[in-house]
Amino acid sequence: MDVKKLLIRIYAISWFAWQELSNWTKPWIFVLYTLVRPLSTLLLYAYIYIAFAVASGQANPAAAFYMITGIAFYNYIGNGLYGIIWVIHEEREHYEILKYNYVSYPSLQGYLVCRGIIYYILGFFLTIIVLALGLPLVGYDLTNLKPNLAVFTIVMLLGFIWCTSLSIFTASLSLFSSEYGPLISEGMGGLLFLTGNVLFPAEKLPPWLHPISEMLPMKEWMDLARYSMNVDYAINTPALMASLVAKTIIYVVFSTLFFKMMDRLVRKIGALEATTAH
Amino acid sequence: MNRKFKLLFLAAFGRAYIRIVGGNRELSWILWEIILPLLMVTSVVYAYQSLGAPGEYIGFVILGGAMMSYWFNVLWGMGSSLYWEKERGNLEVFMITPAPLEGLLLGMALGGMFNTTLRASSMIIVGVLFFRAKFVFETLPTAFLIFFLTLLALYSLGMAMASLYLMYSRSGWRASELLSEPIMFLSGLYYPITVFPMILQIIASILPLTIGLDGIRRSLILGENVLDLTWHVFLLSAMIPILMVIAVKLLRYMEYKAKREGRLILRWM
Repeated sequence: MDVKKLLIRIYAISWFAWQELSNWTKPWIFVLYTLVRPLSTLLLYAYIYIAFAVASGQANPAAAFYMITGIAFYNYIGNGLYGIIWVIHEEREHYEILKYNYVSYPSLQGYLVCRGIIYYILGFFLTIIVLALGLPLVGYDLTNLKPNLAVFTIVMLLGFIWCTSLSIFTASLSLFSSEYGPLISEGMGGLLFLTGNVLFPAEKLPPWLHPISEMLPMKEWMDLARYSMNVDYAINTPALMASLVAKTIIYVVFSTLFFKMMDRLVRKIGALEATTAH
Repeated sequence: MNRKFKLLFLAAFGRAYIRIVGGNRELSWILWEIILPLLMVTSVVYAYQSLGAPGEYIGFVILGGAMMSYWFNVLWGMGSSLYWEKERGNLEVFMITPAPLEGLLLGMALGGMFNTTLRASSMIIVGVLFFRAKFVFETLPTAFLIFFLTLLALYSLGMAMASLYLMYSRSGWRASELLSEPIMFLSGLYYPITVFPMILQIIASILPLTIGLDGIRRSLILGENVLDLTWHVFLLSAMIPILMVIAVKLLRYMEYKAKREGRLILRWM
């Protein structure tokens, strides 16, 4: 493998993704735009806890920690997911350049992964910002945090790998439908939010949703992310880590094979460039 | 004058017809549009339940989710519609017909209201059936009055926003994205705005959605009648003509400016 060539490609596609994301305005407006949405989301969900605490007259630091970390870490996954899946819809429907990128880059799958990198970086910083602002907002004492940097690094890395694989799988489905592309993307994000221990433990969901929650790596990842912030967060760390690693491997293998199959099929039926106008 | 109104209503009817028929001919689309917002609303309902919050909060969340569908329709179905028409190359066709743009926007608003009402009603039905959300039905007429006024104010705001897309394309799209979460937060989507600090409550009250949502919740959950909600009715009634005038003026101004600067049919910018 020619590493230099690969790095040049990653740089070129990331630069392109960055331009597409940010060059519509001045840098300071872009920074504002990038911060306003996650901070508003933080306020939106933090106030669920605050409304409850005001109504009940009692604080629950464990619940506050659970909710804020859930919202914060979701930024990382949500951004990565969106950054990859949306490419198909955007380049086919809006800019009509999917075919050019398809023929100019060696693999569409590789192209999609590179397009997502900048979104993960952005999501990472947003996670940190939301944690730093959100925990004090709900009255959580920051001195209670006992972070574990090694676990945090591993969790972020695994998150990148499984979320990218899941996004590749979802993007391969959206290759077939210009109409449903955005909905598939939104649907996957919503499903992870609902079943992935983001705002509440997935055990609270009705039993028929448990298999979906178990199939996705989000639940383990979210709990391990919380653990990486506070090692007193009571979970079975080795078991969750083993489960997350196993699921990540399965997702990587499955999504790669599935994408190859779908890529071949979509070209065969001539749907690669089919927009909603077709 | 008569011809102008006739054209306005014909354009509105034509656009609303397309929106209603186009939006409902595909069952899978309707299902998606009901299920997607439900994913978020359901998450919040379970979050409240896991916190052990009182039952009224479930009703708050369900009503918030239903009303938020209208805001999203205003943002994406009204606001960014002209951006989409521009991207698809339809806008120039609209512009060269004698039909006024206001008629087009009115049609989008009426069609959007109809479609969104179908989806929002489904959310309330799901809330009642699955989450046992409880509502006071005696004050339903009051809730309907406030609901109707809220829609008028919201869609007038949507018409004003749509005109921005005549000038700005991609940045307008981003502006629509920017107006999702902040408005969800400020309008008290999942909780009463009384939990906000006073200054935030005042800022939030500028939005018709906040006042409307608060009024509907007060009538359907707390059982308050029209006399208790006079201020809500008054404020929404005052907002409607103001927003309508702003919408028409802005539309004319943006159309003029876009034509002058050659941005009217400029794509991908």
